[in-house]
Amino acid sequence: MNDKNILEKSKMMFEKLAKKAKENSIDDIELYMSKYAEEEFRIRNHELDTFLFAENIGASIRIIKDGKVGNSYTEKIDDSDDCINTLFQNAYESIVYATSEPQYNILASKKDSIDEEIIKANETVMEVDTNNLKKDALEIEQMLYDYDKRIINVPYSIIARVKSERSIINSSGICVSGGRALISYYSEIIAQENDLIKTAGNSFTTRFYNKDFNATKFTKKITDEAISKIKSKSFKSGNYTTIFENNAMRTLLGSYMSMFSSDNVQKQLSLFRGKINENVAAENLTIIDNPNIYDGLGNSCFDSEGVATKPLTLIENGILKNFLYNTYTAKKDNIASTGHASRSSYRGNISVGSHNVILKEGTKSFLDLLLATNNGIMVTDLMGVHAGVNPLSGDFSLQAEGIEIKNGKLTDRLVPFVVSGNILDLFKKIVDVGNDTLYNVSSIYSPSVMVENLSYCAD
Amino acid sequence: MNNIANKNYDANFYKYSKDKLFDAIQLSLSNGGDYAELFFENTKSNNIQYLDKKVDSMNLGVLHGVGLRILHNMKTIYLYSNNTSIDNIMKLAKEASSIINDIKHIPQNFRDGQINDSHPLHIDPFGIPFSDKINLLKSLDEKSRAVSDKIKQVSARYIEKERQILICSSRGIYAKDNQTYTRLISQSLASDGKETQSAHNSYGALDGFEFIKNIDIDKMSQDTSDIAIRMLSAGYPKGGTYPVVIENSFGGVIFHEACGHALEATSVADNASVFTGKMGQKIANEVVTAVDDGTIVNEWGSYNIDDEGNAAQKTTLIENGILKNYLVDILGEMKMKDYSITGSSRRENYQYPPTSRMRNTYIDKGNHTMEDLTADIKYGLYAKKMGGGSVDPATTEFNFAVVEGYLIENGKITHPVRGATLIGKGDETLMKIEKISNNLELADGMCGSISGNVPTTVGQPAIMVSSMTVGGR
Repeated sequence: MNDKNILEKSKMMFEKLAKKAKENSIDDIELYMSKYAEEEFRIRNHELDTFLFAENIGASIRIIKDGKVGNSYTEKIDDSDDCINTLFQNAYESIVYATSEPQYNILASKKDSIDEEIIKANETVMEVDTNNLKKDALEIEQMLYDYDKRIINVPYSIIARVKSERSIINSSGICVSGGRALISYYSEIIAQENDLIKTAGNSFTTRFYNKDFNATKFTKKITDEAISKIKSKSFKSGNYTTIFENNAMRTLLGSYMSMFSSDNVQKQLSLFRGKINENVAAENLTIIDNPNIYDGLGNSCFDSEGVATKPLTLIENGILKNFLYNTYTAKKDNIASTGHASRSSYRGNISVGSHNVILKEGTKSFLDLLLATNNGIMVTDLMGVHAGVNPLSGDFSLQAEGIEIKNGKLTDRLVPFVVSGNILDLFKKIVDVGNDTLYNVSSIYSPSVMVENLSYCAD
Repeated sequence: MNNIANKNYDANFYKYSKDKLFDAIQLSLSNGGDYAELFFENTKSNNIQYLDKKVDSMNLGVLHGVGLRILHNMKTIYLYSNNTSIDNIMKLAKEASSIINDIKHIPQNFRDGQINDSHPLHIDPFGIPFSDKINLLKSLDEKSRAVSDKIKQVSARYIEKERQILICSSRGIYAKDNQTYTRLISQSLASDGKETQSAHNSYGALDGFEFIKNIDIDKMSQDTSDIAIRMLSAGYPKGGTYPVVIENSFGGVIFHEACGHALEATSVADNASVFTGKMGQKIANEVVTAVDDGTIVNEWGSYNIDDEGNAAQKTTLIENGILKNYLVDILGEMKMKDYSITGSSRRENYQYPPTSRMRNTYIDKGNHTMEDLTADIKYGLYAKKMGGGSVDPATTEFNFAVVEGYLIENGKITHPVRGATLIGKGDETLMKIEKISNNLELADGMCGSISGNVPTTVGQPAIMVSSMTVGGR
């Protein structure tokens, strides 16, 4: 059953659903189906510790009657009518209660979609022999142990390969499918000297096997970090000039992306509400969403409603330019969808989300940024963003790790500390933006960024 | 107890003959392996979100699949699929066993699968019309807004979930359970034109609609909106290291993060916890007794059987400061030898191999009053309501957010403060819990870890920690 092409399978299912829709006088119906296959090799103590193999398929439908929307999803997909009936019935039941403004509820139409029907996943990562993946993960673990005798434990070295596909068919003529395949590397280590224990980890995700991944660079970053943390020192709480290293800036920006959602703007849940064309950041801040970049982890030709995607400028030289829209929110603001309908999976309803968010690079290298910082702190990592970031007020107060900057040079590792501020304030205090963009971690991309005084507390 | 509903054991879901399932277990171990287990799941869930004064979304769905796990020399093979036909299960078993090259293992015959149902379902929520649930959300919205015109937005969410599971394993387990959950969550957003603040509240149980009906909506809406409004005029605490009094209920998230995760076999067995090898030793101040109890009737983190099919237990983790127990699953038991399973193996769904997780975890009550806790503090923080947090179990370096805070000045609780994150090291913080009051309360939460998000309860009476690092400005 899972062997069938996802679009072919969707078409068969859609036909049955469309018939049911017609019987119940429903005009608009959309079927979203996604499928993924996953293999994960987890190495521990020089052996394959966990092997995970999975295949998963699910479907969700959206039906609209007189502007009222009903949603439902299922993982129980077989050729029986039972599955179609439950899926339809659940959506139909919920329609009665959905009171969101009927005039805005429409499906995306064929003209907003793409011509090409099927975008094939990049299959190169699928062709790699599983033994090679296992061997790579073993080698990475060995490299981590070999680096320094203070590395006492490598809890895991993982390589995972995921292939995902999705298809969208609706009664307004949209019929698209596409996919992607990715390989990810994850490792974590524990380093110990005397009674002091420190950990560090790293991850790397790519669409191309054996092209961009450098095992030496990957492992060295982890081991250097853990070893340097052993010698960390305390510092005086207060305000310091800050460089957010690319990874920390990526984390921070990612946790505030909900501010760019038109849905949140319309529901008064975004601090950017009413600020289009206003100055919301320093001039050197430009943020773009681009659905198609080299090794983009969020690359996509169409969004979760089937609307064609294109680049969108969110902030340009400090000026707020655009929000992310799907068909519903766009209709509400009387504009066209920007192609940012999003679904976490078939289990989630349609919402709004980004593809590849890029904080645009400046001209300075990381070293230039350092040299320009007389004394300050470089933040390398931020923890607990799900709790310490408040996108509604803009406030953040986060456990962080970092390195002291003295006279333009990185000096000592610092004990874990708390860095606090407000994102709107921080955007305005950006002094400079580096050119060392970090790729291959998530679909948010940022270089290191230098910011005026932020508040720090340490033990 | 008139409202006890019959739990649904969908015959269609449990259609597999025991013989066939035993064949699959047998096949899984045909090339060796110490343990094999099949986990079937069919979960129905409805989620209604009321936002912006209307039903924003309704999401009804079915999760359906099977996970096959084989343990061999303490290594794991895990396969899962939505295709739960017996043919596919045999195919998975064959695939998984082909990875092993050892001596055939003979599984134990299945024992009778009867379980003791300790958590009666009071009113099957799926039998209640959606209109009743929506009216409830509507009233929560209206009451939250009525508190003040500063309340600019309200979100109210109702969740119901029926998790039907069937587990069989080579240890002779054949067990099924129906775990029905209900939960109500609200969030109020306050704004005075300049500042925007939000607060949230939730109640959840392993129980039916009667639990939801018994929630005091007036109090829930008042409390939530009050906090959001109060925080509008709050200042920031002084950053630094000083005494912190953490209020009861969700304040227990501190123990969950600072200590609980590091007591799970997942990290203990792999030497990735600071508490590895510390059994019987003093790891906390002697006033601390902490318990993880999966048996509390109808509690959010409870269940009849865990996701390996074993009965839930009550586990004393720390008694008067002494480490008494870890949370142990089958893999942990194999790795740690001297420890037995504690019935606390959990997973979000069939897509995850299960592992040792917390259930209802709390610090037990002490004999101080609230006044005792603050009495000797010249300058400190009273953390009345906590948000979430996270921890690295290897170092126990943790963080968590204070949603509603107040300063303690000369023994008295004074001005509201906001935006503070507390950080520390769990093993050190446990020693610094100096006073515990007597107002023990539990609160529902969701805990995310390697086997996914599971319902967990945290709890404690108010505690006084002699020093913590407080993020301020």
